[in-house]
Amino acid sequence: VRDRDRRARLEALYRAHAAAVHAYARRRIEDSSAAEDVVAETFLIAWRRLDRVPAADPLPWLYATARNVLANHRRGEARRSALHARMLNEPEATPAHDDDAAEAGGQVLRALAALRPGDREALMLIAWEGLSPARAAAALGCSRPALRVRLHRARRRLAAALDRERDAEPSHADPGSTRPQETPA
Amino acid sequence: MSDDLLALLKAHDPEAAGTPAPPVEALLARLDAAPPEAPLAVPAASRASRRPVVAAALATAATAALAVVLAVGVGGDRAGVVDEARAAVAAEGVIVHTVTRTTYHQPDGTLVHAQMQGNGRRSLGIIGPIERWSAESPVRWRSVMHVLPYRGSRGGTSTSAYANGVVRIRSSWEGRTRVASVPRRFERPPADAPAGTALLVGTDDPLQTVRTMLDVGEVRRAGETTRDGRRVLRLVADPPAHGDAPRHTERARTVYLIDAETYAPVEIERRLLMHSRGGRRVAGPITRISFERYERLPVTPENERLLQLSGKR
Repeated sequence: VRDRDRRARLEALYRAHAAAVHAYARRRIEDSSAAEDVVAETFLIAWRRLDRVPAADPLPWLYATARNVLANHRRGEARRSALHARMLNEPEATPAHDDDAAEAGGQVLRALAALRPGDREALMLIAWEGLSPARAAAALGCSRPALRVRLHRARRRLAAALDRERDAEPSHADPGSTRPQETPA
Repeated sequence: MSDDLLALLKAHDPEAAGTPAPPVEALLARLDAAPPEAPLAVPAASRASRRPVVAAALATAATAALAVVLAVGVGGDRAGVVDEARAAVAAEGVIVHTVTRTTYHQPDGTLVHAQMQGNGRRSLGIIGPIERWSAESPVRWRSVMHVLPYRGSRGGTSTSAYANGVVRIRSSWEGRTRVASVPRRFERPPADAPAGTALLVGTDDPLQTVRTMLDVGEVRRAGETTRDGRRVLRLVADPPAHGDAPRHTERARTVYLIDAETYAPVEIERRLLMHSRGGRRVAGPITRISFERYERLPVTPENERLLQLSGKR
């Protein structure tokens, strides 16, 4: 009976949060099958440590676990980093008529990639995972004041990195050199 | 934090369009291979407790990972039929002896060297073949594998033997035998596993298993070929993408090579065909299980010893 209860709890946990954990993984890793592996591994750990998963608000715990799983996955595989890979793939993934948006997206992702990992994670948890500062602090395993400091620093550095990206734009986004030439009808 | 910077980040969320949960089946299959109650299955957080993790992975590696290989892209709607058929053909007076070698390949066929079994950070590097003896009524098995050095262990040969809900593991780098209890439901593959799983674990008559696979439409005949001078049947499972398939998987083609005379499995190969987010078709990874040996032995006192931890061959 205990087994059945545990399994039912895990399945409920999966139904409620697997999509969020999947999105978390996909934002951080390019390989879609690897992202699914991260989800499975995260919930396997939850299965084995079900008594440690906070019943009231499990999502920060799941994000923290997924972060550790990702860290293991990335070890020695820096080239698979989502941000770097997305940086390379962004123009291809974006419709041809939306070059400006693609470039803006590339700037943001490149600027984000330039941050320290801890700062970047804090920003992403707030902006992309939509966590409150308290839940983001729980996911990062730090205090709320520490998170505030990290966010402040991250925002400052992101703004500076974006400025650098925008300053550098003419050198790699010159329409005359990178876009197809129009031909007269 | 509510400012333009946050809005800018939100606007460039790569998953803003929504991300579905991956199909739960793959997780459930792995749950069955990782019983929480087994003392050795507790994840290790410290260096001192890492060896049990290796042992836990060993306990499941020989069977579960092989079964999971076949699980991708196969629907579960035939589960009842397959389970009934499997129950009908389980052989009780037989010990099945297999020597299998699993290799992983890049989409271009390049061999990925160490064979990893288990899951995620519990994966083990296994070199060489896995030798296994298994019997039914009651379920008992023994497997021998060669493990690469891993997280503080020196690596070497590891032997696992299961009977009566208990798995015993003896590894060359340890001076003692580890013992773990395993719930009985983990004795067999899950009911919704493909019928072809019986070619990898258990004692089912392979002829009957192949018939079941054909009867339930899990595979189609795809001619004959030769392998090492043997005439082999080619059976192909080529399910199109469906709701249960992993994201970006268009097809998960499994090719079974079956000895034309004995119906013993010779090779099982799975190739994924994926599509990228840009819509391009791309070849996925390849997993190949080669049977270097498949034989069915009578249950005799001498052969029974092959199922025990101290068994010799």
